[in-house]
Amino acid sequence: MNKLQRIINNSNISRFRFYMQILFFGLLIYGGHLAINIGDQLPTFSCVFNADRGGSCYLLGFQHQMALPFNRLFSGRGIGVLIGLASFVGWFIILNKSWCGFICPLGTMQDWLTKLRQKFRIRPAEYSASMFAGLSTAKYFLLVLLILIPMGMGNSFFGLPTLNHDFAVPFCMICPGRTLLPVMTGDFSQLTIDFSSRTKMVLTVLGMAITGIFLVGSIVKKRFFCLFCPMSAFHYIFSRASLLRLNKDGAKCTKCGNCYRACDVGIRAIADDIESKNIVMDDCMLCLKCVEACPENNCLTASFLGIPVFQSTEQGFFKRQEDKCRDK
Amino acid sequence: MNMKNKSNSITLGILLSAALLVIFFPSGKAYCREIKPLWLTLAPAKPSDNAEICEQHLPPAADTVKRKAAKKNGRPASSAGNRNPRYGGSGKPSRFESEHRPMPKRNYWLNLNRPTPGLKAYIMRPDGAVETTTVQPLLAGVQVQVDTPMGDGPAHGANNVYVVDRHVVDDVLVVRTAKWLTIHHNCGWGHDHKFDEIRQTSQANRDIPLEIVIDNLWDTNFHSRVMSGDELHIRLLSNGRPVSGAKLTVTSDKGWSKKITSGKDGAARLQLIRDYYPAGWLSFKREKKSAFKVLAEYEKAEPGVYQDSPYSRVLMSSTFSWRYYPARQEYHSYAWGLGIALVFSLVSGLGVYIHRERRKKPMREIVFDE
Repeated sequence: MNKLQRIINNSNISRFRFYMQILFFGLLIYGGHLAINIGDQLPTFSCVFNADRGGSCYLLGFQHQMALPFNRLFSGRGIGVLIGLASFVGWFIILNKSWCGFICPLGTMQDWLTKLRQKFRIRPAEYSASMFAGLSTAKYFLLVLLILIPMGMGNSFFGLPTLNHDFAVPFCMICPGRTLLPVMTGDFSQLTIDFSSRTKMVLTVLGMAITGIFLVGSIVKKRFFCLFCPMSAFHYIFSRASLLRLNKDGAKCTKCGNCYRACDVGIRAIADDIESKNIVMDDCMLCLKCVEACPENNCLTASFLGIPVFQSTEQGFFKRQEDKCRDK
Repeated sequence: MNMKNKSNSITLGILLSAALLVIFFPSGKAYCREIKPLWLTLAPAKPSDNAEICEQHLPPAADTVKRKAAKKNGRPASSAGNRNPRYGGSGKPSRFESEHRPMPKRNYWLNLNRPTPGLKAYIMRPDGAVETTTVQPLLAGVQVQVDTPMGDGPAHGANNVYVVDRHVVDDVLVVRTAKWLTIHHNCGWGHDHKFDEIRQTSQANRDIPLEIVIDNLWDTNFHSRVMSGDELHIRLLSNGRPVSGAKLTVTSDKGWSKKITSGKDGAARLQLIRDYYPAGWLSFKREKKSAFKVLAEYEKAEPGVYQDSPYSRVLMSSTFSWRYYPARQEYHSYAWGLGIALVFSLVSGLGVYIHRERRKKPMREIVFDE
């Protein structure tokens, strides 16, 4: 058992992640061709607008359900909403935020754009601490909007008129996953502006503008969109209940900053925080790069149901460095 | 004098010939007979709809009772679309059924004053089972009642409703068929892996004398997918066998019509024209439903006996109507979409470049003055 643990701890988790991302990208983007459907409440961007998908993102169904009038939402119909939420939470608690790091097709696309940047030797961008903190709140703002806007369709707030039905699934309309993921299957139909109403026009213009910014942003900044992702904010609500955890032993941390430098999102707290045991932050995508980059024995530990599955070790750190030097 | 006699005899001869034609060839009328086709609709027909209905049989204030029920419940009371203005309906009976609102019972109306003796109605379930349904005369007209049991069972999918009327007139067997296709579906019953192409396709019923079948009416999410500009793939079948040489008339919502003839395999193709031209952009409705009607007529020499009445020819008609929407191309623009994405890519790329250039600090050489 110790030998197996040592092999895993010395392994290159980034390479494993790279292959897992390809596997899940294929499954979620093209799975429909093989009649695969792993669910409609997935806690990841498997876009419903992609006809060949192998599973569906929960956010579309959730927004639809939020558009129900309150008298129906809090009636028998609410049971369906709760079942959907329970399915989402059920999927999520198994893998925690590694849905973002290992599975999310939009995240995979961002990682590929990062590879493209590295090929062209463009300098990566980084946020200052204050900027990071400011931008990090955007996802909560988007999460609140994606709940409130559909609610405004089915219910009148403060006597105001209800919103029209073109506001259905407002986040999906501005999500780059809607515009870009179907392109991967040769479906370009989402790259348009819908002039059928003012609301649709504004939402699709926003969607295409965000798509343009997403492409440039993902090239210059690793995991650019993850900082604004409302799914990530939604995840964080249930993160503490997850079976997969990332723990930090603050006593063993030397604050060398390797983990922060390895972090694609740029979470400073991973290096600075030596008090918290559970180190999964709201922006974390549980890619485990920080564990890989940590040279201290058992300082960072990814565990499933309390059983360590991947730990930082000095031996593993140096082995990976050696491999990296050899590859260069 | 001779000339006068000659012209008189010619006139007499013509009159005699005409009289003989009328007396001995009454079936000749069949060639120029225009049979009134049967139509199934969601609301009772009005005399203006070319129906066999007289003024005194007009419906009592167009479903007053149902509208009252709708007002009471706050939701539409029938499958006939969304009538309630509170839910975006116009308050008038709709010509279209809701595709996402299952109903335990559905009522359709015929353009008849009273049921004829040879009138029969059937429903074919998505699994192919055929049942007879109720036809009842009401004050407003003839109503066909169909049961569509709630729940995700054998009725989930496309249910074909048929009305067939047979009668012999002047040595001609007139067979009139009307078809209505209804989707019995609830989104709550699920979409993925529920959409079975066979169950959702307008299927052919081998018992129907003349049937119009149009393929690919629904998308995999159970919404109608026919749009103006689409090509209709029509098949004309008689007891399940293709009918060639039948006359088909397709009429759009605004009354544009085109006549075509079915080919050897009973197939005919026709492109739906665009006939929705709103006054301006703001009055454009993406979800505007329009109805096209298909009328098929076919005549063949086939002697036989129907209910002790002999006939030498059979004259058949069949009708079907369906909905269509404005084409997606009318309100979607790739040029604008890609243009906006490009502009924002360039602006953000330029922004990043300028930001980086401005943050570059020029190297300053420090020279010590000794």
